[in-house]
Amino acid sequence: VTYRIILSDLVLLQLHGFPFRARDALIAGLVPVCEDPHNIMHSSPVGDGEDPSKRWVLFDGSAGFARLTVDDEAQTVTVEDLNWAG
Amino acid sequence: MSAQPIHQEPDPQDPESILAVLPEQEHEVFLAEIRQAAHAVGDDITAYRFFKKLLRDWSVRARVTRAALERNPNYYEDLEAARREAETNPGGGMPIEEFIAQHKGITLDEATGYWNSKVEEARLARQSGQ
Repeated sequence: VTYRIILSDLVLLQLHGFPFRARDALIAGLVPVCEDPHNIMHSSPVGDGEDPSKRWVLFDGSAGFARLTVDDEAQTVTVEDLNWAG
Repeated sequence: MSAQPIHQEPDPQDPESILAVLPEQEHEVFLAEIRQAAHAVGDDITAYRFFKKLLRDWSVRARVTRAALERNPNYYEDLEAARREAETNPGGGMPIEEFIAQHKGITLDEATGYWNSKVEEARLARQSGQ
């Protein structure tokens, strides 16, 4: 099953300040997530993992990370917000 | 000839080094994740691979967040305000294919093809690596 990736309104705002390369890197970083978002080698659970829908992932090597919400029923992964320091 | 002490840089993936860089607001969540992952290793040693990845990822996250806070001392407040604003005026976000189309200046069909090809490449790479 391939999950649909949705960028939140906040992420769309944040991406305005990102250079082309970082946007490309974000797209590449989300590829493995869409196939198996709960795989711990693709994304990490937040905190003690009590809420399995909340996860986070690195992108652009060592320059950025994104917080995600996985909806297994709708089969979507929403990128909630980003931080990038490239 | 006597042995000279070797100066070693602190390991950035050491949990203490991570805590030293990570803003205090995130200490609790970091410690919860490390605790959870360490317990998992106790139950199943193959979970060590994830434990190492988690430390590596947190060392990056600590540096990135510290940089954000240095650029903007109100980083957490601004992030929270932006979250609230996004919740107040939800637009439903945007599918990644639409974003790719805008980002690369291509049609939605082309963007969908691009995304699907990347997903397929990743799937094949993973299968060949297994």
